Amino acid sequence: MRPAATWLLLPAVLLACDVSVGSGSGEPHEADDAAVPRPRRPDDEPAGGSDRSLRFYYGPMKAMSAESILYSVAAMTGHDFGSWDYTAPDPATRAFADNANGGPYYRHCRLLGGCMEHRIPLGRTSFVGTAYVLELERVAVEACYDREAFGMFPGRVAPGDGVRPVDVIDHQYVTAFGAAPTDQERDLSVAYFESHLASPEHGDISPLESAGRGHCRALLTTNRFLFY
Amino acid sequence: MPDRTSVPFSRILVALSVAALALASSSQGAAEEDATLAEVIRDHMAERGATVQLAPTPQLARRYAVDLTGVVPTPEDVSACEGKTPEEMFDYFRAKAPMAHTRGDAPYVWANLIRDADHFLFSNSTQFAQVRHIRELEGQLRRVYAEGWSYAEFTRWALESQYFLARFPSGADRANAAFFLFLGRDSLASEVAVGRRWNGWVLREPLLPASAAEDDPDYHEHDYDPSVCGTPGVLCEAELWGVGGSTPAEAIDQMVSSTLFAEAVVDRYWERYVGSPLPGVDFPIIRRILVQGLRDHGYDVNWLVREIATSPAYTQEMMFR
Repeated sequence: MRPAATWLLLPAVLLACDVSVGSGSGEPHEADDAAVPRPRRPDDEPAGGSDRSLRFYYGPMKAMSAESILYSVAAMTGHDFGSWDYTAPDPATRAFADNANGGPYYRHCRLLGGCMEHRIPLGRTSFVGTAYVLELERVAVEACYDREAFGMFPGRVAPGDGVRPVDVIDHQYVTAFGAAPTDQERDLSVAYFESHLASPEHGDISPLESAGRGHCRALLTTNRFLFY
Repeated sequence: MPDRTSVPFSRILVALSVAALALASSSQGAAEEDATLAEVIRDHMAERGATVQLAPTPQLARRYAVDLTGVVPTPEDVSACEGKTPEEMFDYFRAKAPMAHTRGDAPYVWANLIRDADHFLFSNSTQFAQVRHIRELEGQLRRVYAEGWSYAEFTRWALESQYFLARFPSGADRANAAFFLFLGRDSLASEVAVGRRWNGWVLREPLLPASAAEDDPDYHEHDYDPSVCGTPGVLCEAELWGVGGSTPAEAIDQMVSSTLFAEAVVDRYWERYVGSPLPGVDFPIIRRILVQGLRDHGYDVNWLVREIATSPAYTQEMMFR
């Protein structure tokens, strides 16, 4: 049985990474932490300053394609989803078979916005809807809880006695987002680890590994990971 | 404004208004034409009291990595990008060696081939039965990205290839597909109101009222206007491909040398990298600069990609972290 404390702390970790996928927040990030980079605001400008809606004021913000999500998660965690070759001769007969081209890649890809193929034209979508969010969760769970994959831990090996939670947190932030966590984010993640270590989610692995895999899952289902 | 719904679907009426576009281009000042893309954007923002702000290195490195290699950057990549200019970061990721997911291709080539597959293989208009035709197409596109082969020459190849001719057996189908694949629009646009989507494709400037577009030279609504027939330089009601026949070289020449073709290439790569349609109505100069540059560089889309992806339109900080 999953401890209730784990579920209570997961949202805190998600909050630390901005907002979770599908939460639909329309407001800019408002972190108080001075170390958190933020776009320059109109108030920052001299008199007659800029307009936030001004064209080119902000750079692009795009959702990763299904291929980028799957290959990125695979590279970060070490989990193997298989692959998909759009020139494959007969995709229609293997479309939803988990062993198509050697793994569940195609099934994930289809539900994460599309995976091109030439027999069944289904247009690629950028709509981040319910099926999309649920599939992203499945992808994260599949990769982060793969007992053979250790890419989410420092050195890409099972965490030993000398590894601290903060080492795992920093490693996962850097590999997922390309930047170390802010103090606020690190504090929230440490709180998650402390709670989880007191009542591990999985009994067949070490408490630190269990907490690290749950933290990996939380990071990979954030908007911050999905959008670039 | 012509009644576009009256255009017969079975008979694709092609009107490349070369004269109109040439006239529009010539009306621009020489100084404006000499400006670079970065200068246009900086001036636009400066006039409104804003400044160009480069995204933080981790954010920009992540953007380049996902766009140019298909995956998020490693910590080593982010460290290597510290202190680099956008041009240097672009070159760093473009030069990446083949990765596990790229099946032997350079990541930059692989990432573009994936997106081209979306365009060439991934629509109701372009489903294929012949795998070998897809592989031929992929091979030719690989030359475009790996060797800098002219996109115009690639288009000539494609329009004469079995990839194209076998899939679209009739003249009407071929003209339809040629418009859809290479001129940035689909002939079914005549059945769709401006601002609506058809088959996942957004018609040009969806928020622009049709009435406001009529006088704008960068809005190609009038490319389909039969009233310009008879104007010198305008090809009207010509069937580009005879039914069941081969592809006429003259029609291909006219297509590939048209301004519309270069603009369609610019539009497609702009949206691929910036993530939103090129603001052609508000900033016609941007399209003109890129079209001119593309032609000057022999239709090398690698030049176009670098120009777009190192401009402030791409390198500014995103709204949400």
